[in-house]
Order: sequence, then C-alpha cells, then structure tokens
Amino acid sequence: MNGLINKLFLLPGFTLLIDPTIMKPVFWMAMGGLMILFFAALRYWFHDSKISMNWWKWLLAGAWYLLLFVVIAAAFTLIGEREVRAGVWFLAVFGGLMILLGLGLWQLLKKV
Amino acid sequence: MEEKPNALNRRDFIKKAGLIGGALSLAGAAGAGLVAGSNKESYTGWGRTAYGGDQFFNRRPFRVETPTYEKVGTPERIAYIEDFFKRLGELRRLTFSRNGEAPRWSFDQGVDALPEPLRSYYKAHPGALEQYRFAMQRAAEQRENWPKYKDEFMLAQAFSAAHASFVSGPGAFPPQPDGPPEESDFRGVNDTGLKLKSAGHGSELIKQVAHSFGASLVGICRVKEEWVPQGFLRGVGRTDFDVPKHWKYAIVVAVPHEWDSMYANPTYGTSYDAYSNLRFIVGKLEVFVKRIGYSARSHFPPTSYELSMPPLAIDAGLGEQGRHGVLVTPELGANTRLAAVTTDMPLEVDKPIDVGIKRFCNKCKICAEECPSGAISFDDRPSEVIRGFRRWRIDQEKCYTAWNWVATSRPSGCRVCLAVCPYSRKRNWIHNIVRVADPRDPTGLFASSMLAMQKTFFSYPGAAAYLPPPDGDNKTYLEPPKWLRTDEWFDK
Ligand code: SF4
Ligand code: SF4
Repeated sequence: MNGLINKLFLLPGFTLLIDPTIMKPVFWMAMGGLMILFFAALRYWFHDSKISMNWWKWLLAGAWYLLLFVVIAAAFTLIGEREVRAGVWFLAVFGGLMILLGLGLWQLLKKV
Repeated sequence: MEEKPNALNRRDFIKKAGLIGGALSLAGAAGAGLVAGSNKESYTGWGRTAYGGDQFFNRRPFRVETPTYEKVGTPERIAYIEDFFKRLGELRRLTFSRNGEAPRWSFDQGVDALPEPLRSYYKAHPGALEQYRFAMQRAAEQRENWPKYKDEFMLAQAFSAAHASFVSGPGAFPPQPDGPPEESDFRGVNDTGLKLKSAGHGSELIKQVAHSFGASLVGICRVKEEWVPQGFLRGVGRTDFDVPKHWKYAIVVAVPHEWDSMYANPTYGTSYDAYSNLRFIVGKLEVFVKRIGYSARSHFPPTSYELSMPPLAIDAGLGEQGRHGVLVTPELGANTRLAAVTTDMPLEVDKPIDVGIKRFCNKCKICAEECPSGAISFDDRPSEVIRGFRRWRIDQEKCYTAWNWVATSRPSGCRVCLAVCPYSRKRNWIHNIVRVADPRDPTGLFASSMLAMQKTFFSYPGAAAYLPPPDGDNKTYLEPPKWLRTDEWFDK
C-alpha cells in the first residue's frame, strides 16, 4: 500500500492534487454535497413510506445522522492513531447504540 | 395530475443516489477520522506549528491564585543527597574502581561503612540501598542479554545515540556554567543602554523567541527559594549556597518526545530526543537574553538543573503534577519535558492553572497499574508530606531498577508512565473535545466516563509485561513505528 502511494506521489500534479491546503476544503465541500443529496432523497423515502415529517422530526433525524457521523469519525480517528482496540470497541458500543436509537427513531417517525 | 415518466425516473434516481450519497458521506467520516488520527500535523511539537501554535489550550479560564501543589508545612529545599542523580553519582564513585584503584565500598560492607552523607541518608530510608543493589544486579543481566536484543533494537539505539550525541563531551551544548553564578550568569551580557518598555513586553518577546527556537510551551514565574536544591552549584561544585539574587524569574519551556517512539516505550523511545531539543532551546535563549542585556543561566536535562522543575512549571502555569511525579500539561499530557532559563530580565509572570488533572489522578491510577517497577503510589489521595508539600511519593530507586531491567540499556529509561497516561494525546479533534469539555464540567461526570472508557476500550499490557523474559514479554505500550523496526530495513 505504501509503495503504491509513493508511486502515486511521483505522478505529475499528484502532490498538488492531494495538497491539504486545497484538498481539505474540497473534501468537506464534497461531503456537504453528499449530505444534501442524502437528505433530498430522504424526503422521497419518507413520503413513499407514508411517514409525514415536520420540523422536530427532521431535527431528530438530522441529529441522529450527525451523531452517527461523529461516532464513525471518532472510532476511525482512534484506529488512525493506532489505538485499534479502542477504535473497534468504540465503534461496537456506540455504533450499536446508534443502530438501536435509529430503530427507535424510525418507529417514532412512523407512529406520530 | 399524472406524473411524467421522466419525473418518476428523476425521483427514483434521487432516492438511490441519495442513499449512495449517505453511505459515501459515512465512509467519508471514516476516512476523515483515519486521516485525523494518523496525520503527522497532530504530532504536537513535531509538526508544522511554530510561534506558539503548539500552545493551543486556552488557560485563561483556569488561572488560579493558589498553585495546585498542596503546601501543608514549611517548605524545605531539596538537600544534595536527596537528589537521586547526585546520590547515584556519590555511590558510583565508591562502587566502581577509578584509575586502577580498588572500589572504596561494596554492598557487602553494609550501610555503616558508607561515608556521610550517604550513610545517614540510607539509614533514614531503609530498603533504598537494597533496591539499588537489586537495580545493579538487573543492570548486569541487561548487559548479558544485550547480544540477544541488539539487532532488534539497533535502530532505537541509533535514534537515541544520535539525539544524545552532543549531551556530553567537548562539543556539548549548552556549555556548563564556569565559576559562581554572579560571574558566569553575567558573562557575555551586552550593555545595550536600552530600556525595556515594560515587563509585559519582556514576557511577550521572550515567549515569541522561545517558541521560534522550538519550545512547544513557555511559561514564566518567579523563582521561589524552595524550588532551588541545596548543596551543589554547577560551576562551583558541592557547596551550600543562598539563592542568587539575580535568579528572579524562570522562563520555563516544555517540549514533547516524538510521539510514535514515546508510545512504544519502554524499549523504542528515548529521553534524548526531547532533551536535545530542550538543550538547544534554553542554550540559545540564554545567549539571546544575555545579548539583550540581562543575566541568564540555562537549566537543562538530563541533570544540569539548579531548579526543581515540576513545581516551577506549575507556578509558570504550564500544568499540574501527575501521580507519577511528571508535569502533565493540557497540550502534551505527561509527554512533557522541561527546561528553564533563570534571569533578572523584567518579566510579567503567568498564573498557575487548575484544569482538574490532580483530581483525575485520584481516580485514574493507570500509571501505577502499568509501572513495571511498582514505583508509583496507589494511594487514593496524595498521602505523604515531603519537604512541606503533600504529594504522591515516587520510589526513585525502584524506577531506576526498571531502567536497568528493560531490554535496552540505551536509550536508558522506561517512560511507560508517560506513554500510558490518558492525558498524553496528540492534537486531533476527539482529544481536543476532551481538552475543552473536561475541565469545564463541574460535576466530574465527563472525567468519570472518559476514565471508564479509557479502562475498558484501551488495552494495556500490564506492569510485568514490559520486562524481558522470564518476568515479562518485552511489550511496549503501542507497537513501535515502522521507522524504528530494524527488521523493516535490514536483513539478518
Ligand atoms: S519510568 Fe517506568 S519505572 Fe519509572 S515510574 Fe515511570 S513507569 Fe515506573
Ligand atoms: S496515568 Fe492517570 S493517575 Fe497517572 S498521571 Fe496520568 S492521569 Fe494521573
């Protein structure tokens, strides 16, 4: 893997492409785009599942997604800094909790 | 109204693309996390930051009038013989033959045959001499075992030796003081004839310059008499002395060890990476302060100090003292090494801080659980009064035993307590959340849940595992980085 990355670095323009000063904002802009797309699609999914949404339901759904995002990012940050066991445990415990919360939220959105 | 077929397609497309987008954004979260965790820019003190960028913790809300050390009696200066390295030096002069002469003392002669002040010291500290003897036996084993380990730790040794290369000998930097402080600290002082605008200007200037020399953290305090050990003065030798009048202020600087090697202690890390950086910083700072017209004397590792550093650094607002006796700072945790410059330059002092580290130590005990020599106290609260201050006692002889027991003799030391301390974290977003939230939580619940997670999620090898077989398994806290593993770069 490292060898491949080193070879990529030798390609003309690659260093510029992955330069953090430009890549950081581009990455987060792309992430923002993906999230907008996700929530745009969610409107249709809820509609087709006969779930009527209002402001507080959207707030809860958004908060759940944001928390899941943070849990995944935190677990992989720990893995990235070589605390692999801690990262996996974190993902298992809090990821599991997020799934349970997600199921609960789905029921709530459907019922109310 | 009937929907057009292409409108239906667009709807389906957005539904599917949205799902893929959602999954990709979560994958992006994982990727961003991996990058944040492994990014070398999070290696405080070893990344790109300069000019104070490493000192990123906002201390202002945590400034206190009373330092976090607990004064319960009349403070006393550390006596010459209570300084572990001075005591060790005295013993070594007796136990090793010099100039072909027979050693002047051996363990079998017992404590009564020791000269003063060693005799009184060891009589007052029963068990300490036996522990030192035990350490010497481990040292002999360490030398015997070395051929077995020398390939495995070849790069670690070379890394340490490179950093230690200018610590002693003719090229050592900074040069040691020569003569009494009233002479040596003023040698080379430039009479500029200029007047400093204010003490505040002085502090700001000195901090900027110290950061530019590579200091991760800088704080300034007054020199209290109790932080100046008695009985030995560099440039003079063994002597009782009053604290020189011109040691008015101490500019205290801190740097971390290289993070990956520090986490791979006791065998792959070294003390000398931080030591060499500190020596450069305070050596240059001494010259700088003298050139702008004031006396200066640098105090630097491993043993060239006339100051007791952890309490001095507490006064300078850098952090608090941990259970393991090492200064713990918000930015570097226990991965904090200290040096100082004493001066009569007018300076504005910093205030000590209280970010709850000492309270966390009451519950944590991880360093005590992981210490391979049992040198760190398990007491729930600081329990001993030492020279007028209530604190946890560190058994220096036991700690020294571990240095002589682990597989490598050089890089000498152990440093496991620095590596396992939950505060020793790099600068990334998750640890920054903890840095900001924990000291602001008055209930202590945040700290308790962090500690519970620390003990459940993180793996610790266990105290004995760091020792070589048969006592342990030469474990390190984290795996060594690739660049310190001989087998990654050399064939047998
Ligand atoms: S350096 Fe090692 S032996 Fe010494 S106190 Fe720390 S963990 Fe214990
Ligand atoms: S490991 Fe725990 S008890 Fe030891 S100094 Fe760090 S926080 Fe305190």
